[in-house]
Amino acid sequence: MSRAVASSLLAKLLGVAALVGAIGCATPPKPPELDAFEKLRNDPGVPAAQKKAPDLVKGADRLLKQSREDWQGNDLKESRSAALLGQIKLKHALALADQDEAKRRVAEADEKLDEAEEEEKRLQKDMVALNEQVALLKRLTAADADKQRLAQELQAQQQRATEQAAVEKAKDAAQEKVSEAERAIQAADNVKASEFAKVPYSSAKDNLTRAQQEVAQGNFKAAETSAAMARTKAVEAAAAAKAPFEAEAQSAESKQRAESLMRDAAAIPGIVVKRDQRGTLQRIVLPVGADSLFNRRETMVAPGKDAILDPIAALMKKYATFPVQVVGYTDTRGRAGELLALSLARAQAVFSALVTRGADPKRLVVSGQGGAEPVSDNRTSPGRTANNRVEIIFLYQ
Amino acid sequence: MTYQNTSGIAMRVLVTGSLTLGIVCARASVATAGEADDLQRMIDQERSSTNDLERLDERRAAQEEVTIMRVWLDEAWRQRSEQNYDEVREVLQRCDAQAEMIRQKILAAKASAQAAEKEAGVKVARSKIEKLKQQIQQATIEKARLEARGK
Repeated sequence: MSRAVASSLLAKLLGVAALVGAIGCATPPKPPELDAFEKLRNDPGVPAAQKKAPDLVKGADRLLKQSREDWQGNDLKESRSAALLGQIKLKHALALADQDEAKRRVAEADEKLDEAEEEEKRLQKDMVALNEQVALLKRLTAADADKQRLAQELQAQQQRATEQAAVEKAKDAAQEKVSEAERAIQAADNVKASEFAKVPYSSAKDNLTRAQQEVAQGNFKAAETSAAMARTKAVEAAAAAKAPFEAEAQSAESKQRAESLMRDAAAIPGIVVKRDQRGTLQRIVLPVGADSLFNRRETMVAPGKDAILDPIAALMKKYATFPVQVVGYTDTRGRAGELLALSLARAQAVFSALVTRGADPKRLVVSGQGGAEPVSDNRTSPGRTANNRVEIIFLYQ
Repeated sequence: MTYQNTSGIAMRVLVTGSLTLGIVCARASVATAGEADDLQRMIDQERSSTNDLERLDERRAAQEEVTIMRVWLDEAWRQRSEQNYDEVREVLQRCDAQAEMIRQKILAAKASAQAAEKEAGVKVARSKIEKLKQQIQQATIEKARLEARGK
């Protein structure tokens, strides 16, 4: 047992000794400096560094080789020292290459910057020119738009003015028609058409009112038509009323003048004025007794008895528009033919005396009625005296 | 750039010269008491140089390397304390190379930043050009439309 233990211990001791021997003779672990140096040597920038600083890279390579040899030769201290110095040389070379690369980049960038500046200047110039062209085109476009807008506005204004003028024209025409209608109605009023031609006058008034309303509403065409209708009706009414109006007017005047004549005639001494009516005729009768003018059975006005004719002739001249009849009458004694001739002759004598005194013969109508139309009783002497007479009759309507 | 290169070279020459001088002096006075003081001065110079480099490195492009250099200088200081002057000189020589490498890296970073800035400028310019082209295209269309309307 003890032999076995002893042999086992011996075997173990031999193993340990062999292990120690093996360790002592083997290559030591690579120093980290050398490892780092090798990694650095594989840097992709090394070829450039070699170009830039071949001496430094060459020296670094020499130190790398030396470091490896020292490491292989178990001289770790020298290996580390060589690796560190080699790394420094290689990094130095790399830094120089980096500087070169940076300088190249700077030069390249400067060149590109110059090119860019040139291009930018050119482009700026182009841009300025283009902007000017665009601005000019915009101004032109704006001017065109303004022009077009102004033309449209002008056209619209002209159209409005034309329309306004047309409206004004239509209004003026309508108002003219209305004025014409008003004048026509006024003319109709002047002849009292409202009284003498009620239907057309009323129609004219209605049409005028309608026309005025239509003018106010701006319906000028209709107003024109209504006014024309009003005018037509007014003219029609005036025409219809003219005759009765004139007749009435004349009648009124005649009446007035007749009244005046009546008063003047009544003022003549020795004459009893009568007024009567025959049909539509009014008569103012101035009977002059035959004995006041003539001698018995004479047909000539007796000298000295004609004074009574003077105021009658004056009356005829004053009232020159009245037609006058000079009618002779007798009593009924004697033959009718003789009486008729006597009465006519006496009437002719009075006619002549009046004409002599300035009366217009054209106004005078002479007749003899004989014993007709006695004014008194022929059976008595005063009656017969009264029936022997010459009547100067003023006629009017 | 030229000034920086010139000043870098001058500084490198100065530092190298100083180191060489230091090494020569150190060798000349082997194991003398003054050697420790010289090495201390050189380490201090390197530390000062490190600070300067850190200030120059506005973009922090070599921050890691500056940190490593400080570690190495600490190691040099320790080696000097242990009077391992050869190791100190070796570390200082490495630090000198590191400083030069850092300087170049800083310059590369600056140049790269300048390039990036320029490239950004180019990008902006290209963008403006593209906008201008679009505006020109739109204006051309507008012009054609207005001309068509005018006819």
